[in-house]
Amino acid sequence: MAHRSRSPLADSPCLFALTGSSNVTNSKNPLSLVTYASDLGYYTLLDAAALAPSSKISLRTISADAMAVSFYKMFGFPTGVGCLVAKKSFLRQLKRPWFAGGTVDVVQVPGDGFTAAQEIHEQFEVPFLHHLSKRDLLNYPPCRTEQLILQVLLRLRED
Amino acid sequence: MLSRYVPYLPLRLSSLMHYLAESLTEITHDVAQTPVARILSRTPGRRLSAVGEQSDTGSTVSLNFLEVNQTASSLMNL
Repeated sequence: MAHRSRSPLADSPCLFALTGSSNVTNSKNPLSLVTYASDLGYYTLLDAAALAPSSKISLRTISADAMAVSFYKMFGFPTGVGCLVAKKSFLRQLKRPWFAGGTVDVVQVPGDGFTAAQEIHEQFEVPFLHHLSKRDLLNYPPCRTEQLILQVLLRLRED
Repeated sequence: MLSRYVPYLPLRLSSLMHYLAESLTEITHDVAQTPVARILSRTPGRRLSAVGEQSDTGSTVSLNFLEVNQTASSLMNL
């Protein structure tokens, strides 16, 4: 990394992603690498999926542009739910090639025009849960309530 | 709720990790007295002693279970 140009962004944007803690090697990587990469001009992503549940993290001291967090490693099921904490300035550099419900304010039909959501973070929301976790999700307490309501509604008959 | 117990997690996990790593390395085959497990992942160094301290490793163990002749019989990630 240090052998590259001091300002890689001048050529093309580069992203440095660091695994904060590995569940395979059990190593915690020095977070100062993020600051080092940032000083070299890289955009930086901290993968805190395994780090966040058991460690104290302060984004005031880590100059990461974005940090990924896995909620199921904190709360348990359902799997596939997490978040990307990102600086607005970083999100403005990203271009999402598709859109889905919740990420746009207006869609022209027929046609291909659309107006992206006004808030930058809403443009990157992912509206669907991990499809493999739907079965787990059905056992999730809030969903059990929905199931119960559904069962009652399906049993309703006109007398 | 999570924010209440997060400060205690590193201390609890550090104790469990040290116990697990030490226990695994002490287990031997009863006849040949050769090790039953070989830990491949990084083992914790410093043992935490107070709430607020941060561990130098994560809280997982990758290991081989070994036959009597020390060939690996399986790989496990705990």
